[in-house]
Amino acid sequence: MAVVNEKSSLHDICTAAIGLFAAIMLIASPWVVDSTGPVPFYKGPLIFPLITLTCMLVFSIPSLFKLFFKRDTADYTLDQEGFPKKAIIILTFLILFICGIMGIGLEFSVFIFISVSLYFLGFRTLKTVIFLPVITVFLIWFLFKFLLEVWFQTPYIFQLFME
Amino acid sequence: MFEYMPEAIAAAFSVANLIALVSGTFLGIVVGIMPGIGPMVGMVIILPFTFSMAPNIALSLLLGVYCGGYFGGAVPAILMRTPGVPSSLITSFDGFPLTQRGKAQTALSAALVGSFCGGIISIIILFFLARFLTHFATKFGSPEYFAVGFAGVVLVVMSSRKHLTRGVLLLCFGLWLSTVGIDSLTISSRYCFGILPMQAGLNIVPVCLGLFGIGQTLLLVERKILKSGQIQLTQRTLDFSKLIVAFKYWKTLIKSGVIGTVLGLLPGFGSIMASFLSYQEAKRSSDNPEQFGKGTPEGCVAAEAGNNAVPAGAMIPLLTLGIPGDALSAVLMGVFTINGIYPGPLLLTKEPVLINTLYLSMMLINIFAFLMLALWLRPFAMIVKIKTSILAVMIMAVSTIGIYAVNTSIFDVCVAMTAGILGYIFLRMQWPVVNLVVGIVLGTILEEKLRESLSIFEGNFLLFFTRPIPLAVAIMTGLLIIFPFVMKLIQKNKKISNILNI
Repeated sequence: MAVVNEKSSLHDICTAAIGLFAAIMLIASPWVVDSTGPVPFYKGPLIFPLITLTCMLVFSIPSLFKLFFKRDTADYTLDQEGFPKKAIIILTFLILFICGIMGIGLEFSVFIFISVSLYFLGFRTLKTVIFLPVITVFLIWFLFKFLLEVWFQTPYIFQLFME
Repeated sequence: MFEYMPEAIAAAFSVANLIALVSGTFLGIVVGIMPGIGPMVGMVIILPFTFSMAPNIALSLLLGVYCGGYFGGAVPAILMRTPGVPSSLITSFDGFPLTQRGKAQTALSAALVGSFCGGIISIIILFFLARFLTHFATKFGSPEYFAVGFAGVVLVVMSSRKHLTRGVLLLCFGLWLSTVGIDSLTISSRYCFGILPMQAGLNIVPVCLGLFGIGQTLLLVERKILKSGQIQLTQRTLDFSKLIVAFKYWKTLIKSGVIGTVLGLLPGFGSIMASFLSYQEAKRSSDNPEQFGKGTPEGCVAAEAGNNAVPAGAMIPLLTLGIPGDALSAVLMGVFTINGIYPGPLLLTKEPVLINTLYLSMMLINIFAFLMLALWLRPFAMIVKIKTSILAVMIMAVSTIGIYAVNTSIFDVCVAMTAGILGYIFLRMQWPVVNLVVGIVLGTILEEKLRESLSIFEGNFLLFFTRPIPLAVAIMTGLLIIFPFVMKLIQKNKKISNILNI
């Protein structure tokens, strides 16, 4: 596990972001919570969310102060691993994979996702780019479609041909 | 007490249950051995498959992964100084020096005996303590439940007191997330923003799958490939003569088992703390404390017995009060509730056969894990050579489809994606993600009990302290909060007085 710089300002940014989110939710609560139910207040649906949001806001205040008033000493390095380029690209592939399930179907999208991801991660042999994805496709098909009988909608591309 | 045992024995030894136990334990050992994956990822991957199973089979499978993971974690810790599960780090303190001296067999035997005995001791404690606590918990009303739940929340926060702000923030975030959806008491919509699927609330399954199945695997793709060339095991199996030698530390085994169980039942402390305290206690009471850290089998025995006692310990608050102490038992709670079984004081009287089957299954898991590792040590150790980034990509694909399969819902997949991104950020920054999961699970219980209690007390919060159990729990919680600070102050004073004396 990489050693994390505990004094990194990224911790403060994250804390402040949560605090900001809590503040927005706190302000928006009367509009996004239907509180027309029973009185008194403690029986209503607002009391608990308000307590938790207030706690979040209170505990994020020191970080907000640090971010605004100690900008000159800010350090934005988190660990030795640098910018998470690989994680972001794989996450993008994953999001495309989900869209792919609806667009081109489960089997094709699993194959493309695994083979492209492994190729990107540097595993560029025939075994990893072709055979491994094929085996995974078969396993996923067997587990989810054959064994569990999970329903997947007809892919859009097939719907086009059917029409 | 034992009247339901014949039925439980029949259920535990049924072919389906045995298959679930063996496969769960096998998978648990495999994911435990792989550094960075661990039992949590293993459990969330198989979670979608358990929904079509009978509750006892589903629980056996998941418990197999849960307990098996702790068994497996010691192997890379001893052979490569790379813990498979975080708590096995303590095992590596003595395990790796033994390996360097060519005594890997001795270290692995000690760790395996420690895991086995820790597991068995904790199940025996679970068996008796759960009955006692259930009897006690039947007298609980809403204020008592709230007090215990709140104490649990405080303990979770205290376990991350080194970074109190982060711990509180994630816990409160989890508690707030539990309020999203339709409020069960007033049937009013909360924070749904007009999105229809959000009215059902955030399901714990996609959240856990996202946080650990996607978040953790995104971390793995960033990780450098592990150097596993140093693994050298001459024998395929463990040497049984060395296994017997490890039993000579029976006092350490019992003490560590008890410490692990006690820490397991306290929410938030987890296996690392159990392993560390067991190790420290073994070192303190040992005849050769100077050997600790240089390579003594007793260190491996203590650390492993401590961490393997945690799963059964964590089951105690879950089964008796319906309060999960960690993320893994929160997942188990999800399996219970999906099957219409609600953990709490009435569970032992309503489902006695299931609970006794659960105890027996946990015993069997320990036996199976012990035998599997003892007989197939070398093949299991070679699993470390599998490249984790290849596995990470496959886990991501299976997890994503698994999330969809639970409710055939794209909304769940979107929830898991968001949880995955948050999980990656928090895990990378080493924030206590467990607090978030515990918050989501405990939030519903806490809110319900708080509002019921306030209704009883007509809004007067101070009336909580007029009832004996909430008052006792509040005092104990207060002491637990103050204790570390007082200890710190005493140590500081000691240091100052020492300096002045010099």
